[in-house]
Amino acid sequence: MGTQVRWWQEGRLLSRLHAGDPKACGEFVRTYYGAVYRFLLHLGGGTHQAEDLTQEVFASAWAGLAGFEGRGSLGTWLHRIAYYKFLDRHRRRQSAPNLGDGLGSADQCSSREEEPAERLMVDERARQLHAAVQALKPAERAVIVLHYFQDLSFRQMASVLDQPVGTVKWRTGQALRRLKALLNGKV
Amino acid sequence: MTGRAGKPQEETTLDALEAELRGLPPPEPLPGLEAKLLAAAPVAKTESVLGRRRRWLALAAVGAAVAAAALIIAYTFVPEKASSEEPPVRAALLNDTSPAYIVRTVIAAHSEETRPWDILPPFPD
Repeated sequence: MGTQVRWWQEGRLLSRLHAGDPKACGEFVRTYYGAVYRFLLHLGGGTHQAEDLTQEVFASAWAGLAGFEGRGSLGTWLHRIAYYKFLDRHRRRQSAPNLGDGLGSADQCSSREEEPAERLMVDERARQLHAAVQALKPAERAVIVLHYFQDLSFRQMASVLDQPVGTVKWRTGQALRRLKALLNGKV
Repeated sequence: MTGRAGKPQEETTLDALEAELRGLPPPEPLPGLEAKLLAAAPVAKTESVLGRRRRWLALAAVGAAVAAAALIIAYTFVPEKASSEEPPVRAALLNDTSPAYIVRTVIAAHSEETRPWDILPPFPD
């Protein structure tokens, strides 16, 4: 994930959360909300759905925090909740991913320091990449997003997706090949 | 399709594609989302639940301390008291052989005035 938190820092944060430290609650939100929001936005559905689901993820996290024993990382746990929230919403709506409202917009994908001409090209390429990712099946999209955008290891991904590590590796390779085919116009 | 440098895009290789995916700038979260999430953080609820838990822990600790104190008192004082008392048989023997007991018993048994014929030798036949 974007913000990598060391296990001992996370252990301390979890202890403080279990102890009811109000500052720890704020730290928990600030540390993880960006990664959770980005994950949901990359999965599709647009900014408003991502925002809505992020709030649902944290509501579930607050409800389940007392039972979280810290076997996995907090980040992985939140990604898992987010993924299942997304799947649940996706099943209920069965709607096509909304690119215009989310990552298709150039403003969200560009680096602000670049020159306008170069920025336009980078934006165009980023838009193509995001469009191709959105064109993948949800399961393929999930592995691409988790591995390349959220920077999760295969082991962490296996925990999020509740699949064996080997299966996750294979699916990531398959999804990458399909993404390449989409970008090369072969699909 | 054009590449980053604007040249005609050749077929994307898997390594290049991986690098491109990793290099994409992350989207910024919507403004105000953090504030909404912080406002929804159940600080009071968490504190009350944990406060209750703490109260139970404190009660359990007090109970354990009282039980420990009672045990210490029992082991410290009760055996001493018991050892200071003589076993019943031995106590009875001591009582039976003590001068006070003998005097008391003899007096009790012979509460009547001593009669001369009781202590004098019998008359010769």
